[in-house]
Amino acid sequence: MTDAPLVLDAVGLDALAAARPPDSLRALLAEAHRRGREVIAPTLVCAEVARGRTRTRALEAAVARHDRTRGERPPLRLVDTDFDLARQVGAILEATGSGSECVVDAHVVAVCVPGGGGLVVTSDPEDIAHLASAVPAARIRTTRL
Amino acid sequence: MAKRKITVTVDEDLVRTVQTLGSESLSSVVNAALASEVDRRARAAALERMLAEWDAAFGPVSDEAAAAASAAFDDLDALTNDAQPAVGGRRRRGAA
Repeated sequence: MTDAPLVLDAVGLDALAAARPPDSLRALLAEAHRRGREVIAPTLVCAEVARGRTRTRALEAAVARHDRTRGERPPLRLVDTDFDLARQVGAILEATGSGSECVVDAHVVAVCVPGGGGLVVTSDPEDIAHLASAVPAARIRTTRL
Repeated sequence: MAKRKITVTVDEDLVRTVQTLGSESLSSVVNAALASEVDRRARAAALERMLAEWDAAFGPVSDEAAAAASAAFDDLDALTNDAQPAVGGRRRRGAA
């Protein structure tokens, strides 16, 4: 079967950091857990969410949320941009004729590739679909909150 | 990092395959696999607890949201590795 993760873009990360997360995100996270899927986001997406003191503090809490005494690690795995990921992002932008303004969305698509795809929580499904056309072997679906 | 010697039992076929694949020590392969699995379980445990805390604080999610989430994953899992770009969206009722 598939290991395709649940992937959060800025809207998903914002919802995760909300004082009261929307039902739609909670349901997606519960379904990911039920199916044994990872919940991931490119670290670069944090740059779109860490705006202003309140939002930044909420983001910090959301990405760090875990109880170390129980052996836990944060539910959300942030994927840092190393050289290989940066090269993949560049290839996606080049293949789709996209500019650097799409670099964050291209990261969202690129982090789907190792898992063979992903369910992307996004406010820009058309943009994600366009960028994903550069990696046809990756099975990528989008969903809004 | 400090190492601890332990005795584990693993499938004979796996050991044979690892030895066939290369010169990397069996211990390093077992360590890497264990680290990956521990990370997965540790994140899943935190996710489960977070969801339980939200349920306790806000009540269960609506049936509609749960059904939409399940359908979204079903759509993802139904995709096959054919030659066409496997991309699409699923809009929930009321979505912009």
